[in-house]
Amino acid sequence: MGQPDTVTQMHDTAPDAPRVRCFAVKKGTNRRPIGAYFSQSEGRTLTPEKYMSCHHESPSARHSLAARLKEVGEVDVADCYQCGKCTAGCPAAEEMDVAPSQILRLLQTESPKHEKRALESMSIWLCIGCETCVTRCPQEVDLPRAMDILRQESLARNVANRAADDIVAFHKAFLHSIERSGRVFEFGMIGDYKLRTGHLFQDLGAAPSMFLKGKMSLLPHGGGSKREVGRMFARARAAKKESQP
Amino acid sequence: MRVGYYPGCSLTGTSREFDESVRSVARALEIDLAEVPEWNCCGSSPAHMIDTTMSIALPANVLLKAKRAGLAEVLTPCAACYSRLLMGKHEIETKPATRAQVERVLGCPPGSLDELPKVLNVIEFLAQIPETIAAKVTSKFEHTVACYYGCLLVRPPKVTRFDRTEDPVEMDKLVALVGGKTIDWSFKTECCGASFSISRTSVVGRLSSKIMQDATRRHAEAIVVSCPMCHSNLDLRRREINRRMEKPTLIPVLFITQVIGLALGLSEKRLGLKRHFVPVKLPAKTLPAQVVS
Repeated sequence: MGQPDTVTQMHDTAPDAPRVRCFAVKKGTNRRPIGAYFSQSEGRTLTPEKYMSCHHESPSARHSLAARLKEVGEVDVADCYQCGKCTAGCPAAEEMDVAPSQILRLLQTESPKHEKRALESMSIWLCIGCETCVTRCPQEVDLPRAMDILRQESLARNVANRAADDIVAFHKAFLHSIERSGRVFEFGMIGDYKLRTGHLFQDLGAAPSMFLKGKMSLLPHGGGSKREVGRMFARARAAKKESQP
Repeated sequence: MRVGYYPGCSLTGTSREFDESVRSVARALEIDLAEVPEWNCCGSSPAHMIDTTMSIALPANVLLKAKRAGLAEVLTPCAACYSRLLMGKHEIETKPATRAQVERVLGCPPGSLDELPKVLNVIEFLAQIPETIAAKVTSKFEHTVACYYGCLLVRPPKVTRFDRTEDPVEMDKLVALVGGKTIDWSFKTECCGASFSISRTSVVGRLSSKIMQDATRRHAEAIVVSCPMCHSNLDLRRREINRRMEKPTLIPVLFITQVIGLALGLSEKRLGLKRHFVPVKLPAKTLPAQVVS
């Protein structure tokens, strides 16, 4: 262990406890080694007994996120053996608080504390959806699909990281524009985003040349799909309500 | 030759020049583009990120309209639309429960979503007709460029089934077909930051500057793309990129259809070259002249 900053161990106190070595954590990033989550939630030392108890925490009592990912998205987090390939190739990992592979590790334990950590992470919002991870994953774990489900679950439980407010606002403004116009009306969508976030003066410098170059229209151009798409959104919302108890 | 055409929202706004160049090139090659009637947005990234149902229903509706208009193939220049249309089709074809759910959202009778049209990106489409293109080249595109594919044309490979995943070559072949030379470089399929252009401009600056840096070091005269998001991040966000570069760069970013259009002798105006933020100024022919003995 010559470089304590680059290779981290899950814990270091109990000699008889399982020693699990995590993958490299880049210096100077705000990401904590995954051991930090375990020692925080399960005490300083993670013994095999403690590990097993957290791993098999009353599976019948609640529907774990791992089970949900399997059911809704056909993603089995148990397939992941923590090689770290996804994190190595992720263009956004540098900015994430929990690395992509760590997200899967947190879900593997099925512990509510770990699940909460994943749902409250910035990482699920910083994922760009570039699909590099699943393309390179030796186990073909569909991490982008898992991220989609985690984002939606995070919004449904109202636990989304507040630092991601502007990213969430952009997605919502975008979908709102489709619902209203059938197509994305960029000028209206950006206005909506600015109102949602308060970033009123962002990119104002680029706006005049956008108009001059004919890249932004002041009127929506939805064509005839406008009302039809509005109805689709309404039906999807009604179906969602029906499926919830 | 007639093919269905789905421009998508970006091509009617921020990437109008992509639409203009696709239509101009198609006209020059005598290809009839039949626009999908009353098309709607594909949902792009925001839909799959926060509303899975709509992320499949929106592209399904586009493909259903194309099918009802009798189109067997739909050409989709935008890489994001291409990805969403393919993904939507894939989900419907492989998951019966999803299909039933989407049929309810669309309000269409069961079975309507059978045999949806084939989805093609613009590189795939043009690669089918190399002879037609070669026969119409009037002024060779004699420049050395970097072909930048980005994420969504090639990933996930199980669904797109297009080209080599880590080192695609189809766009390079098209450039070579019209007389150009392409560089071998490392950022062909690296992400530019995509939909974070507005909500996390800094991420776009960081990722896109790496792409520009490599292309500059290897002396590319231009970057050639086939995705409106890649284009606007590398072109419109150039100031953000240049702040992170060792030396600011003025390498222009062209759509593949603009490159082909130039070789076909089409005017700058018809190819929308004036709409770029980084001016399209290519040095005079730079390929080494043939040695005359």
